[in-house]
Amino acid sequence: MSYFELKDNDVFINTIEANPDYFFYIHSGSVYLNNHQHDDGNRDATALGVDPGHISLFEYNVDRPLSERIYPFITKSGNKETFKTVSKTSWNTQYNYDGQVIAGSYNLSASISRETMSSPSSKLRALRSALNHYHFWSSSFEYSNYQSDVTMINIPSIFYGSSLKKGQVNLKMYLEGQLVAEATDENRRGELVSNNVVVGTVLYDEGILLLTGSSTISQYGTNQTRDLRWIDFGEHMFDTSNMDTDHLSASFGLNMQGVSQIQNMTILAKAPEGMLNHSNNPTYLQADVKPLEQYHTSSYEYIEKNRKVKNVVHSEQAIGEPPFQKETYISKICIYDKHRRLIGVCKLATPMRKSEAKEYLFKMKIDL
Amino acid sequence: MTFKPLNENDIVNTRTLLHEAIPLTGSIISGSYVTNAAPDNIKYYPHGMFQTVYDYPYASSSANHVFDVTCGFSSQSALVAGPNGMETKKNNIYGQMAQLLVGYNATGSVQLFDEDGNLFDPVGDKMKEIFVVPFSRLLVKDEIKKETFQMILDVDTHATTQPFTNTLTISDLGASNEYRVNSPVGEYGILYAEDNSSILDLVNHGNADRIKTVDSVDYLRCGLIFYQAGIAVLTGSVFGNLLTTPLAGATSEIFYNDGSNDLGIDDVFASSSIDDCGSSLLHRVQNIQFNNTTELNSTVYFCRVNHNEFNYSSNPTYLENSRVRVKTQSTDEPVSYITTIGLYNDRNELLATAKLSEALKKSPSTEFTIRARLDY
Repeated sequence: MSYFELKDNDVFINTIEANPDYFFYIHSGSVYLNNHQHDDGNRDATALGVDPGHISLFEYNVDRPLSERIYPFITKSGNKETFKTVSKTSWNTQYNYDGQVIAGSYNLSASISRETMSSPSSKLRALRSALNHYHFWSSSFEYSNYQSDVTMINIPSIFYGSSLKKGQVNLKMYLEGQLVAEATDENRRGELVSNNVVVGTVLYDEGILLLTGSSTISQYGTNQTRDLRWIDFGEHMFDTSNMDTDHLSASFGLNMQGVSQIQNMTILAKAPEGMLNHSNNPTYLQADVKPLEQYHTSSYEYIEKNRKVKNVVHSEQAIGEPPFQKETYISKICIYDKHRRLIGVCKLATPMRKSEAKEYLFKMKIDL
Repeated sequence: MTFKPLNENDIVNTRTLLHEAIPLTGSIISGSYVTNAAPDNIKYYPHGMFQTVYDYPYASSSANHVFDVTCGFSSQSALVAGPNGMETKKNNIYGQMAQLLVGYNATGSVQLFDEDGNLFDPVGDKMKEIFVVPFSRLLVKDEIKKETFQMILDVDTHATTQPFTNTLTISDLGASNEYRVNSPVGEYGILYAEDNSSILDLVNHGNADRIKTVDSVDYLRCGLIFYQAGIAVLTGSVFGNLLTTPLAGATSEIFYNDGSNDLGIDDVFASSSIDDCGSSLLHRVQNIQFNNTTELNSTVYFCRVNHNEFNYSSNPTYLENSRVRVKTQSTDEPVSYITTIGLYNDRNELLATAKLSEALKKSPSTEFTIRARLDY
């Protein structure tokens, strides 16, 4: 095994920007994520163990009844580590002294949520700084625009990463399957525009849509005539109470892309010619000489029999052994820190034959 | 914004061990996803060297890899291979697993699996016919927690209607204090079968040093569990001569029926395909469970804010009409609100920011130590 020092030009870090695309379809109180049908499990009510329209963190307990689920736990100790769901008071009072297990649970889920308000709620008031921040893009972010009849659609960050992608937020409203209105942020400045009218705004970093369009787009309903407005977007999402058959006519689509940045380290490792042609592996030497069995010893000396390097040179000829050359097979590359502590191992799918005349450049990548 | 250097007393590294309890009931492994003859959650490969168990039909994107199953026997085994050419494959599987898990001896030969981990002992306690169960890294994480592994196997004669009437509980008893370190892949423990209902043949195959007695219950060695590698190795004898009634293939002692023949454990190892061999084991698993371990490393930066520091702000909003916004009279105490802590390297490049859930009011009469923890 040989060590080589990585120079500045051998290590570089890139940032990859990914744009995850999600589509939420809302109809009759249900939310469908990316047009996936609800998947009944064989052993549990749902295959993913979360409600329809939700994303499952880790997708860990697939089709497992409650009693058979994987769950995390830590042992109470002086480090005072615990789960976020365990309060300081609980930690102090409910788990005795050191050594008791503090258990958590998986199947954490997330989905979009909707909130309507006729006057600014505490959540909207908390967004005032954010609205001010976006204000230089558009006067539509003026806080005074949100004093009555606002619908807030909240998209959890697990769906988009660091922010929603500008110009890729699209809202559609359907009546009886027909598209009746569409709003997009085509200007890429946070305004949701439908028919040249601003009907809401997008807070990209926060993943929040604020809909204010209160003019009637269309009317529907046989039991009762109802107005369809942008502030009705996502009505009865995850909530079937007070819903009647008229509501089944309306459905809503929300399409968005996120911006997720992943840092990626690339390391170039060179196997120069004339080097890395010897191995300390036991199998590098011929096996017919057994060092512990074939040795010479006397009162003055202990001499092991010399062992030969195994000739593994490739030959097209079936007859005769090809001329010996020092050859190795590079099967893995290890990365060490400056204290020569092993911090990473990169394995090749197929070992590379390395002769004295050949040189290779291995390109290793790791997501940070 | 003000910089303050952190000294060595302000930085501390900690390590937390997070565990997960992993139950793998037999219903995940066999029986739940059978639509045709073959279960949908078990993937068979054309090479026939092993099979993979998923927790859901493997064609679904939701399925997670749970573990693989394979088997093999050493070329030193007394078994005579059948006519289907499986001997080479099984020898190769054994050799590959032995190379990986127990390594070579001084002469360069691959060592055999040893029941008690004494690899220098050239003859005794060697496991020459083995089942191998490598668990998925998704479940094992950094390692299997010692003394938490348990597997319950049906060791009764092959039954189609009422399985699990006679079971054997296998665990890494006492492994917290008694594990081995002479493996190339890290630490490993010894698996013991519990002699419940006197089903183990302690008289003929359990000489004193192979029996472990805890709380008046006898246990017999039957395999190894490699903690960091996440691989369980089980001797084939667990269905054979370790039992008072070995599943030898006689009329009432059937290990496996391949659809037409009643086979004993030796027949299955010698003649059946690796897939059949693995399936026979899977149908006999009532439960597997273990706890895994993940090491969470943290660095805690104690950011100490003294009474005379950080009382002013350079933010534009700190001033209004060229006067400090939070002071109404010149004699008022200066006040600032701490919202964010930035961690910089020695070249003053911003590496990370820690945001407070709510702004912290700072005045000359207050002092704080803010604990910023970085997990990795």
